[in-house]
Amino acid sequence: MIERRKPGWLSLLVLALILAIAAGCASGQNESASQNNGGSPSPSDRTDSQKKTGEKIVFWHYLNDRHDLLVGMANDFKSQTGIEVDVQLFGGDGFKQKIIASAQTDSLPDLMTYSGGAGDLAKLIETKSVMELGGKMGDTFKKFPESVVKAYSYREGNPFNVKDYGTYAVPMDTNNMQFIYNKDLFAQAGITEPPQTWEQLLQAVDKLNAAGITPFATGIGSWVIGPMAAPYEFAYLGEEKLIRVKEGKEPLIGSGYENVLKIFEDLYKHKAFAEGIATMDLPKAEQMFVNGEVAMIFDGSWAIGVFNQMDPNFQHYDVFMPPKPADAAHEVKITGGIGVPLVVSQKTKHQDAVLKFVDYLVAKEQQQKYAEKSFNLPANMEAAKSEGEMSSALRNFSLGMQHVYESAGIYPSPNVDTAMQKGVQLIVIGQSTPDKVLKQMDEALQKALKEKK
Amino acid sequence: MNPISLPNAPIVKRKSRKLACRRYFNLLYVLPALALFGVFSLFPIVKTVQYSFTDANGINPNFHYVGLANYRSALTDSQWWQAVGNGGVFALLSLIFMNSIALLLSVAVNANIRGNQIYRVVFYIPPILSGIVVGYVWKWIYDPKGILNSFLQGIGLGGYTHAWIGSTDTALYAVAVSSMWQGVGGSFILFLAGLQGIPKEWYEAAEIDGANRLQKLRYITVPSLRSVYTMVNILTILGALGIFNQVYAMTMGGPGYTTEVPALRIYREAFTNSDFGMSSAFSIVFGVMLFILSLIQLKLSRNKE
Amino acid sequence: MGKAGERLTKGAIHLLLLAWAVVSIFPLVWMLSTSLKEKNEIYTNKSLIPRNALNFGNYVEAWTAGGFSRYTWNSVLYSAVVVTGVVLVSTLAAYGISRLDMAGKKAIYLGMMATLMIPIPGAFISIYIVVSHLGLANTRIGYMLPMVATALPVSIFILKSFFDELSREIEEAAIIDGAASFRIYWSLLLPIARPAIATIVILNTLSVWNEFMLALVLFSETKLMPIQMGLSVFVGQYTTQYELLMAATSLMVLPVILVYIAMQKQFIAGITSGAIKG
Repeated sequence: MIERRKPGWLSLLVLALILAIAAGCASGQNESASQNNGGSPSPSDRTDSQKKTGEKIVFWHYLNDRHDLLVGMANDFKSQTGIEVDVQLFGGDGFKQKIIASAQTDSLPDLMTYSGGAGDLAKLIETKSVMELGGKMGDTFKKFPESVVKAYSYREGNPFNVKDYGTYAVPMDTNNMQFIYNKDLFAQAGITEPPQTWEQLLQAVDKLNAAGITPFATGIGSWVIGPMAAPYEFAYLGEEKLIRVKEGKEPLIGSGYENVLKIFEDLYKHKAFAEGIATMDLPKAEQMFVNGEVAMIFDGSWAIGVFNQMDPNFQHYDVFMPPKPADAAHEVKITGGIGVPLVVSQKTKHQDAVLKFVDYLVAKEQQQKYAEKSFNLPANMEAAKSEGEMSSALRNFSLGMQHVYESAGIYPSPNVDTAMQKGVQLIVIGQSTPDKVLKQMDEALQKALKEKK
Repeated sequence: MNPISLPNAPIVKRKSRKLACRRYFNLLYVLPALALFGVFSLFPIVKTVQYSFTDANGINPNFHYVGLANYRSALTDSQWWQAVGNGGVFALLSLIFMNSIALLLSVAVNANIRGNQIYRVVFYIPPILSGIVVGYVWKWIYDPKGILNSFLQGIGLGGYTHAWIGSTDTALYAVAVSSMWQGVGGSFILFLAGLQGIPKEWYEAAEIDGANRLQKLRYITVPSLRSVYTMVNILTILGALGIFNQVYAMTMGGPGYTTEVPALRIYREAFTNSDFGMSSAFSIVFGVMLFILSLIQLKLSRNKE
Repeated sequence: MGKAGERLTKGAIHLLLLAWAVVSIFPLVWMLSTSLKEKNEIYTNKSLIPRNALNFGNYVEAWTAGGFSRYTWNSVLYSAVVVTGVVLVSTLAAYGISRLDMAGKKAIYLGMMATLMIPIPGAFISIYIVVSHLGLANTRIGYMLPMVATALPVSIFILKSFFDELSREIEEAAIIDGAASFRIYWSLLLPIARPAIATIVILNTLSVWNEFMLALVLFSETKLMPIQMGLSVFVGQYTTQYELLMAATSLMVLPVILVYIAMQKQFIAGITSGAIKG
């Protein structure tokens, strides 16, 4: 005889499941009927919205600390023009993937802050997902420095194989990366002036070590290596040769590139790096800098805002350009460009409204408000603070925009960049040498060139 | 495992047809699973296999077929094999240390020791935390000026302080420790569930026969756990080889390739290099390796019986 | 082994349990400590003790600023529905595979297990595309169905292993009595397999609770988003608000622990022994 066991809890669960699915279905259908995915309304909706007095555009962004500010601006915009802007925040690391997924299902929002470089955007241009803006917003673009506009401009012969030439992003803000130093710690070590040459920087490192101060930290464990090497790529190779070498048109070995890697070896040999440098990320280096644990950091202009947030009392720092080595033939050019690019979907049904909103966002008044909240420099030149109001550090970063490079060339495969990054991580702890790393980079480069054919 | 069959009965033609009918009827049990699986899981897999033969970048629906080029590249990639080796180290350490600790803990807790309810909850806290949080916490522990080094200095072992995740000789093991720390809880509850399935009477009978703790462990507990143990081992190996979140949060594979793991490489190829073709090829190669490994494990455990 | 030996072993066991308990709890202590610190304390105060030990302001801010009440409700809903779905579907399938004669059983089982092994980069993107084609993008059901689907292989794998372990005597007795397979499944196996089922409830609740990427890609409306997306709001472009992130994470951990404790009650050894005696 089987004992009748009624698993009462199981039946309850089943009931709950049925109810929940019913509820889910019902609410799901209601929501999808009344709301639209992304920003592409169905044809019947379109004629309806044309009849309505207020249009609605969808704006996706990842700027959590500026979300309230953007919502405020959207409301202000609505009161001025009657156009409603739905500001959606998607924070964290996944924004890039969300854009990719939406592009694949044709559900990109009308407007978005783009996450990715010129190469990534090129892929969206290829699939005709994003709109060319240079032709439609000529006047607006005059407000920004040329170097900044070029960041997402694609001309004939561009290295990304983009055929639909033009400019595809409007800058919300700009930034660049330089060295930042702690004035008090420098004074303690007897250094009176920020280094102007690479040799002077190494001397400063020695003096700091003698005074028992850790000289330098930055995010060697992550993407920072590229931007830090770039000024020296330009200094040793010059723009033309650099681009040719990276494209494989000139050999990497023997080009002088090993001098770029030697920069990191020099720092290692002079014991410039803080402990744990090989896997350190930029936020950690910033923490150390704010706490006075290191005297120098390589960071971006946004660091000013970061330092302010971490410790508002920390003010005694200033900025200097990556110092040129004596044996370098060319001038230094620094990494920089657009902090937050605004990109418009090609499939948007509200083109005029969107462009109007973009114009609004980069107008002087909004840019000033934004610059106060954001950690970056405003893109609109009219909105730049007057010289008197800026701190010395901010001024130096601002001036740095003039030295930002336009293009540092691009390898046929990101694997070469990876080889360099991984190699430098070992150089800074003395476990590899510039020659070894150069050879690894060349291997990756040759492999990539072969596959391209 | 032998499928359960109807008890021996006089074989009549009617019965054997019923048998065949039943075999198809029983498919109904897996129907819901197959349906869901077919709709949602099959497509990604098919897509991955497809991508592995192309140069797709994950964004453009147009791509070209490149035959076996991706696979050739993947199989000759020394950094990939280093990553696989690192995964193997994680797996080995986990099998040896993590599962042993989990087994001991589960046996101890199962014996109705005082406070075992609390222990059960506490031991499951590490798996509840997301990999990112675990990464943060251990980064803080391993910080050169952090708590581990301070502790070593405090007890006079200052010479052993290290940049734990910043040095090539310790990074891999440091990450392994954090991953095992989190994994114990998962294996623990699986073992515990398995132990619950062992009838109490067997222990009682053994006790009457005069068996001590160790003998009970050896002759009752361990044999009865065989199937569960194999399952936990397979899951452990899969989990260790597939580690991602903690490495992403702590070292990003560095310094150099010291802590590079397969999942990280697959992720990087897909989202940094925009090379879905290579990424998919790596995935398939990896999947085949894991599959063979699991089959071997199942075969080994079956032979023991 | 005499009395002293017994006591020594017992002592050793207690030591082991206590030691591991401390090790397990430790990061939780760090999380709590960070969550109680002020924003500018995070980087300057390195010790575990916050300046103001009862500073629950972060919790309040995380709850309100993060819109947490709504995300929590969403996550609870998703967890409940998905876990129920997984339990029903996977127990049926695992029972079938473990106990019944089925056409193509081995192929089906191996096929499902194979998918467990292949890590798919951007699986969430492919799933999103499927859901989108079904017209279910940005809906709750469009999220819950694939969540059930992806949880099946592991759950079936675990359950089948447990079912294989269970004694067949009761079943065979039931079959002789003329019981149909479903009846055996419903009235006999499920109650006995409570520990195993409780285990996959715990594991699946956890994975639904911690899921992020599929939700991010699938949902475009805040009111549908689960709790992990709420957390991502604290991770900024250049800085992370650790104090709020840890406060929110500490809150998020509680419901999972509650489910876990509830499921622990299912681990009653008495049930198994009772069944055999009958």
